[in-house]
Amino acid sequence: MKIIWAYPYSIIKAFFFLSKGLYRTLHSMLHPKLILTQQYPNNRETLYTPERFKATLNLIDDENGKTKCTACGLCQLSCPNGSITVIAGTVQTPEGKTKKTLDSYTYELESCTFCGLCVDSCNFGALEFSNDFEKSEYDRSKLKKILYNSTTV
Amino acid sequence: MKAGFDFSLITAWINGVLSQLLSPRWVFITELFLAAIAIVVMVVVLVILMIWMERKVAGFMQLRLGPNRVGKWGVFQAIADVMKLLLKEVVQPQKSDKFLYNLAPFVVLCASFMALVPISYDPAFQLWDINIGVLYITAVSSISVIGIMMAGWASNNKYALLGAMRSGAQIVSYELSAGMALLAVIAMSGSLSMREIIDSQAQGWWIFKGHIPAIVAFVIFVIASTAEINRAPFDLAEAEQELTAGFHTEYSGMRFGMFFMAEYANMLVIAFMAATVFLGGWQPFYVSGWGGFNEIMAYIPGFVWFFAKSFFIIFLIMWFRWTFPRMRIDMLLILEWKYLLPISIVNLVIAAIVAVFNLYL
Repeated sequence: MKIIWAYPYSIIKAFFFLSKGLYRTLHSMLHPKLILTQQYPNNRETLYTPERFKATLNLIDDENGKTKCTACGLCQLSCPNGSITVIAGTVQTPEGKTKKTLDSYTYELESCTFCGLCVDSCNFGALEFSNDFEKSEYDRSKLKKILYNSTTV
Repeated sequence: MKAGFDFSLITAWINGVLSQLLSPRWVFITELFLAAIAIVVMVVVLVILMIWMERKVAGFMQLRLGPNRVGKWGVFQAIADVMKLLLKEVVQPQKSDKFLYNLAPFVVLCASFMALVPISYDPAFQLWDINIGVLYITAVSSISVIGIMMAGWASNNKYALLGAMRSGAQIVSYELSAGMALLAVIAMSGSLSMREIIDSQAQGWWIFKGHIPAIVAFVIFVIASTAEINRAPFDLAEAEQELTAGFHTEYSGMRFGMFFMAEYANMLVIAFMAATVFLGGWQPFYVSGWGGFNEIMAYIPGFVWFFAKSFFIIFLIMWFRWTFPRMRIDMLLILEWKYLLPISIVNLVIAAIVAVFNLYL
């Protein structure tokens, strides 16, 4: 008896689930407001990029305008491609101690895979990824970004 | 019943002009050529329209925009694609069977054009009113499987051969239930001629008049014919992920274009068949008792009704394609042999009972 009922039941079940799928696509078709496509070069002003989108590596300054980076070098160690080079220098504090400070921070865009391990490894919240993604250049040498240089600052 | 626009005026005018100029025999031959050109042009225009429609429907169903750069809303995108195919070089594999390789696209395309002959597009526009119209279309449209097998064999490519074999298994098995579904309506209308089937629907289309058996037959026919024209969810013959492009893997340029056009022309044939047999062809919508409403409906020309119904079926088939995932080959055969065929046989018996005891709505 069970086997006899399984046959019509399977047909009804199939129609139920197929109609669910059909409803979903018809709903998308009749609601053009749901369309996700962004016609990018035409809508630069209204372009929406998600918050988490990783495009540019930035060094964050604290409220005094000084960099938060302590030149510990953890980001350089964690980078799988060796895109980051941190050069540390030393300064004499008033108490007579020697302290490590950041001399220069270079970041090579051409070998970066945007994995985000540098941001994760930073203990001082000095690194972030921002949304600015229009970074193409005609010259390869321009892809080497100097994010911080103590002689120019 | 008086339609707002009469096709017979045009045909009568052409006939009059030609018979002033030529002898009756040559008038007949010229008219045959004119009719063939009219059908071919109609199919090409409709296929281009359908390609654009398909891409737009697909886009909207997947929350995309579809083509929107060539012309307003991308209307000229399909025409641009056709131009590209026409200008493209045809590459032929070195070890292919030259004769069969070149013949295959023509066989497939001819089969789908031949199936358009007995279809009645308008009360005054039908190429050939034979008394076995439905049988003729089902017979001729299955010739295309020979062309597909030819293409798969002659390409000398394992993907093409696998695709052709799958396509053969699929078309041969699904033809049964599609034929059975048509038989249910033929049992009720009592004729195989396209014209007589349409005439029998003047007082309500078969899908309303024939109630349960007609609706079941309609559903089975749509499923089986989607499988017959190798479209998703039954597109195993050209499953991109497994077989690159199936039987037309090795074809390029306009040879590929002909396969592509044949696929869409087959879709047109299926839509015309479903519109004629189930939805009343060019008959307007009729509700018994509503005199004024029926008058207004009858004022809309026949070919508008016909193409509106056909494009409704085409939209259904496109809707299925962009909703359902592809079936596995064993599931495909289970669906045919365990579900569609037994149900359509039982349905045919019910339709016969309805026809014998006159149980129409």
